[in-house]
Amino acid sequence: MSATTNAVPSTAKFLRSPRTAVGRFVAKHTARSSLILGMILVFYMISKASTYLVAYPTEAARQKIAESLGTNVGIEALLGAAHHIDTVSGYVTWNFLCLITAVGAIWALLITTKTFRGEEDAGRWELFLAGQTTARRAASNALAGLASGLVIVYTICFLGLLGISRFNGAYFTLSACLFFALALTAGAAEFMAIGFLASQLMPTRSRAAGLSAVIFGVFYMIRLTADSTSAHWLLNVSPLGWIERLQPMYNSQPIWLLPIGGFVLVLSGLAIWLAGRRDLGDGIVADKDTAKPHTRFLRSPFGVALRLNRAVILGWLIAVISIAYIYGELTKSAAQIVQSTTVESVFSRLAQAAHTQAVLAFLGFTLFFIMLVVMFYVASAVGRMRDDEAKGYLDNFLVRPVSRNRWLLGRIFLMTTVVVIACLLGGLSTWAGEATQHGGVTFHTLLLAGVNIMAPVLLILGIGIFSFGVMPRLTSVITFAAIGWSFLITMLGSGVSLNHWLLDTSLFHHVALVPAVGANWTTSGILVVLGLIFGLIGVLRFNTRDLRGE
Amino acid sequence: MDVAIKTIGLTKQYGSFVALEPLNIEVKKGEILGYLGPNGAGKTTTIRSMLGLIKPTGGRAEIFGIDTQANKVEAHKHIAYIPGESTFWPNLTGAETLYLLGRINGAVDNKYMAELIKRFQFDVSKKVRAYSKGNRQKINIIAALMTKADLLIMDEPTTGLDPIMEQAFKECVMEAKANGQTVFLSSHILEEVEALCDRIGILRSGKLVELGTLSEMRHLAALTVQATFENKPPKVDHIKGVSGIKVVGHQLTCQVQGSIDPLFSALVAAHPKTLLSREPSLEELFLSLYGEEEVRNKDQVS
Ligand SMILES: Nc1ncnc2c1ncn2[C@@H]1O[C@H](COP(=O)(O)OP(=O)(O)OP(=O)(O)O)[C@@H](O)[C@H]1O
Ligand SMILES: [Mg+2]
Repeated sequence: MSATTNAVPSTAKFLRSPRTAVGRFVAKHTARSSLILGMILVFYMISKASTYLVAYPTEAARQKIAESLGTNVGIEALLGAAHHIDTVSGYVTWNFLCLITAVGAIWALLITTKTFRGEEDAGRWELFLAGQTTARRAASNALAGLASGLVIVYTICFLGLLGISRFNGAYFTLSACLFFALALTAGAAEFMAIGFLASQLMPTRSRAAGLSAVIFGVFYMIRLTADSTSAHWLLNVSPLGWIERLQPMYNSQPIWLLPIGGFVLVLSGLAIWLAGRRDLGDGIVADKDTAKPHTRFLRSPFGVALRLNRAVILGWLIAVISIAYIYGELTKSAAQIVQSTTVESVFSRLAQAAHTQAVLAFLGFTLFFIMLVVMFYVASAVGRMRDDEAKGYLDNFLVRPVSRNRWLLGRIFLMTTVVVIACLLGGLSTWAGEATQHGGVTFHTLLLAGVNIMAPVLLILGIGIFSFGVMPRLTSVITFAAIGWSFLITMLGSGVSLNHWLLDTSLFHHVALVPAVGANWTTSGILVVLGLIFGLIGVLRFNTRDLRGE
Repeated sequence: MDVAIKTIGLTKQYGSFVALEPLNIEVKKGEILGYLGPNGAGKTTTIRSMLGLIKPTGGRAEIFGIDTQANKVEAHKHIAYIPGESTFWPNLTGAETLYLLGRINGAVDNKYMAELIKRFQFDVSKKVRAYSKGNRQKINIIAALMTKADLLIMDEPTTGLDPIMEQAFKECVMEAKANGQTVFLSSHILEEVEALCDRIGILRSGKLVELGTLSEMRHLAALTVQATFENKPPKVDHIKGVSGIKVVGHQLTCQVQGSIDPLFSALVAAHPKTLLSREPSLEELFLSLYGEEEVRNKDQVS
């Protein structure tokens, strides 16, 4: 026992200057995830830049790739408008900026709501606030802690760019690197401010994260519409668009840093002010604390899961429907631009077919994107299921006559149903959007495309259940990593050839981009069977293991 | 079947750390067993293994003859469990939570539930996140008692309750006993255990060190003797079996084990003003067991 007295030096460290204790606590907890994020980004940037330089060493080759990529609306919708991609600078800007902005923004909103609301919901903030600090000071302190994470990401990105500038053929100036790194982290900064404000407004962590995610969705959609239609002015409306307006590397417009900086400052200031005006553990948007009993769903563990998750599920379905519909609507205009060119690279590689009709290729890409969204639903749903165990809700069932299988299979059934519905709705809404523009692709084709994306999503579900059974504390991490890895490999592999063993580890590599190419039901069958095997192992392990807290 | 709980070599290890050494214990139907032990002794571990929430590394437990690992659902039909604290869904109200827990359980005595809600002065209309700690604990208590299960397993059930509610709780447990229900009560409130329990088991570092009725244990333990004198108390430290001597002014307190004759003769010879002897309370019994542990630990350190 005497050894434990030596194991608590951190308290003393935090007590040394209690006024900044919160900031240091948050900084310490953010540092690791900032480091990981920075490393992933740099890995992506360096591999992407080096493969471009190797694959397209000459002006002519770059010109050719620029022609095929630059007119592809589907890719522009994802990566933003392409400018000067026949140069290294233009190409890396186009490939890095929107993608890294989106990844950084999602990271920022998750970590911010976790730090501000999550810690508070868990009752850990009280320990600090009971000490020598006020709510406002603690909040601004914590924000400073988070900002230090941002500095880490910025520094790593900057160093990564500096590394790239050493490559043969890429000559980035020091100031260009400094500015580009700033542009790359601007999205994270914006969404830290948004997540911070949402944390003050909403009464729980999940609602704060939900609100921030909705805001992200709206900003992203505006940006997407601006880049894939003629309404380019829309870029000025979305804070994510402002980042694109920075045009680092090829035509820097530092003036756009002003609205970005102003946005961050105003939101943070507002949030700090609100922090002092609300009670701990409550939001500005207060909830009623009493309610009439509604018992319709409260008859079984499954019913409870349905009742408590229905709003979230609805949110995901709406997201899928709107994304699918918007992309569907874009199909025709996209196809008209692409008509004369052969669609190559990014999604011809995804589709594993070099020459295909433009409309179908674009739709294949759309369904791929929808699949990605449904996969994210699965990963978050599996994470919530694990949360039920970690927080102790599951105990309430298992100490009563409820078997572990009844609970788990109910959850799996719920998630599977949502996946099937989401995929079908994805196909249907794409068709609906496309039909308004008379694109001419049949209902049947797109319904089938919706069915086609179910198999890979179910495999992700299987992997999620597997990790829940075998390594419960890593459930979310493993599931998101499976998606992230596949995405990373696919993005890296587009446009250049990658070792096929490596490509094979990406789940997406095995997805036929229906309707761009024909469905491969054998592969789909194999994916489903794999998912079943993973899921089964997870279920069996869950039945015999200890319940584990956080 | 007149055995409610039977554990056969029930063991739990976390890695190489033994949280619970092979435990063999039998609780008869209708009995109230108190389960005591210092923090980290393994009480919760025992209960969670019995319930099948964690998997025992060895041995097994039976509830009314039903194996709790092999046949959890059947076993749980006989059990109601009150944990020391639990997490309920913050957005459900008290009424909704009780309804849900009742539905999952199957059989509920609705009239008794209404009575319990009244007795514990529980406002069911609030959402769980708005309850105070004690009020949240009432959900656990009411949800368990309203099932009138054959066996009540409780792990520090009165955490957070005020003294009046604690009293109400005690009455409910008495009623349960009168109903023929069996109770397994793990608690740190010794006065509660002393008042309610037929037998007491004491766990220390994962080992069951005592099991018996309170009076049986008292025989094993020392008697407390207290005497006051006109002048300085006589020296008694040379007398066999005497320990824990405390002298405050003219008052002497000590413990004596075995025969009390030699001590009494010595005290009487010094003409005491008052002379008091009493059996140790459960608290003193418990503290004397703690004391031994501390002494043992000191030995290990040096
Ligand atoms: N998941 C776990 N992993 C490792 N050790 C554990 C785990 N759960 C409990 N322990 C250890 O097992 C021992 C017994 O814990 P237990 O919770 O049963 O104690 P307890 O008697 O209920 O204590 P308390 O009176 O504080 O509730 C403790 O030393 C604890 O640290
Ligand atoms: Mg305990």
